[in-house]
Amino acid sequence: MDSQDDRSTGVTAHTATIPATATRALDFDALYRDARDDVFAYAATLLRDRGAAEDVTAQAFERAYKRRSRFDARRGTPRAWLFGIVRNAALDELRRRKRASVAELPPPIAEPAPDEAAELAAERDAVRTALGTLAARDREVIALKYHAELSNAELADVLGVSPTNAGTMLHRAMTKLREAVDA
Amino acid sequence: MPDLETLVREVRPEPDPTWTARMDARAAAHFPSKPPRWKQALQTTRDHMLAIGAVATVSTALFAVVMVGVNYEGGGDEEPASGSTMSADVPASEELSEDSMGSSGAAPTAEEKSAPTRSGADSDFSDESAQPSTPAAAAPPTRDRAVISSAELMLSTTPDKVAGVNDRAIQVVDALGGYVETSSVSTSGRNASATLTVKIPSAKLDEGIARLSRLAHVKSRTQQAQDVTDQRSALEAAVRDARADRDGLRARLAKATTDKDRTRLRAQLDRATRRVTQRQRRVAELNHEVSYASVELAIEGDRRSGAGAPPAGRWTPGDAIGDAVRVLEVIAGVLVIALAVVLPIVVIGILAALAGRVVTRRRRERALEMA
Repeated sequence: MDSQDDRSTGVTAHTATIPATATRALDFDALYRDARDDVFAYAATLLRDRGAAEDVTAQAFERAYKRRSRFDARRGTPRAWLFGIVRNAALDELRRRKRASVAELPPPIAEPAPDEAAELAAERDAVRTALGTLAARDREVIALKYHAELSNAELADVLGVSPTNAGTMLHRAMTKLREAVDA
Repeated sequence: MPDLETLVREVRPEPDPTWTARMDARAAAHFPSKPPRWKQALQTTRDHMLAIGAVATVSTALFAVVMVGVNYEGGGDEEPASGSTMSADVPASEELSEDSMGSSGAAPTAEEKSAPTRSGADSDFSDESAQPSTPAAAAPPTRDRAVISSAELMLSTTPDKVAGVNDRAIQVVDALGGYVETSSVSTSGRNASATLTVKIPSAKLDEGIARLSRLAHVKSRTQQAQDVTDQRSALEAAVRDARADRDGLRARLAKATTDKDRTRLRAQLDRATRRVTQRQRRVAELNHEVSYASVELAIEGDRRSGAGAPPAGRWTPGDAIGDAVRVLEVIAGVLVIALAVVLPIVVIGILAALAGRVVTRRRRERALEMA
């Protein structure tokens, strides 16, 4: 399954009026179409709450739209910039909630295909459950990498660490996930 | 069996299509939100900017017209070009006059100090008066007190205006019925100065000082008053005595029978007549000092710009430039003061913002750890 194919089809947003220099650097509509579902997936994985993830996604895109003129292409890719905003919004939501949610990761909206093997479905459930047991920091790294499809460099930009550290954090998180799945 | 990474990708949460549709609509509308109150107020102001600008322009024009009218109202020839020249280093002439009189103890009024009174012997003094001639008639003396008034006035203007201010000072003195005793204007290079000693009728001294003060910036101003009523009375008594002696000698001369007596009496009569004349001259001199106040006027050309009135009392382009420079100086001063106030506030604000960002970042990381 190619996650890129699922990204935001049928979006009708028009190009916003922003400075010419920023327009060349940031096509907000394209960014929105490309990243809408990725942002939701990241927020949902981190917050483990579908409603909160929707609110955070909407809030993050609104903030990004208002700050679009401040985007500087020299400081990173548009996706890294956007996920930085999303991360702050998600962490603010975590702060507001005061305590960690114990809910499991939200299940996918679509039901499994009829011809899908029951074993594969069980493996997915196991991974989803294991992901829900990980610490928020590990969940965040995995979500940014495999749900948002960020590169290691973009991951480093979002987390505020070096690319090497980002790779190390990702490796550790995947190791923990593998252990949780095998347990 | 797919590897773990593929499985993780496959368990990616997907958004609800209903929410997705709403989100797309909001994105298409550029995330509309109700603007804050301050933005609404700003928008309202911007909508009425044309009207506000028109009102401000009309108000400014009216203010300028009123200010120009005030500046030139009743100024006569010696009205200054701008209000700035009125800001003297000393109080107004009326106030100063009252202060100086009050401190003298005698506290004579302007009328009292103007000139001495001539008693019943006035006619006797006038017939043989040795009073020096003056260019204008002195003010009538008052009856109560005899006061000698004097004043010193130091004006400051630009070097190129010293001669003009000097000429206008002479015009003022002439208009008041006074006269110029001495006058000199010296110019060397960029420096210029003038000194005048003028006599102004004592009754018009305050008016004269006020009018002279309006010719240029006043650096200093002093006034003195000396009560000479007793001195004048003594001199008048001496005249009466001398006159009585002379009349006695005349009577004795008329009755003299011998040539020797007549010769001796004529010699005594001559001396008595000279005494009368001398004493009458002293009285006349004193009366003149009382009638005319002496004013020492110094004009220094040590100001850069914006000082004093133009020669013809008109507001010239040079004055406009001077006023403009002065306005710019004031604006620059205000800006420097504002900067001194704002700069620390900005620095504190920047530091507070940086600290706030650090604290927020730590709180977010802590929230992530606790989740």
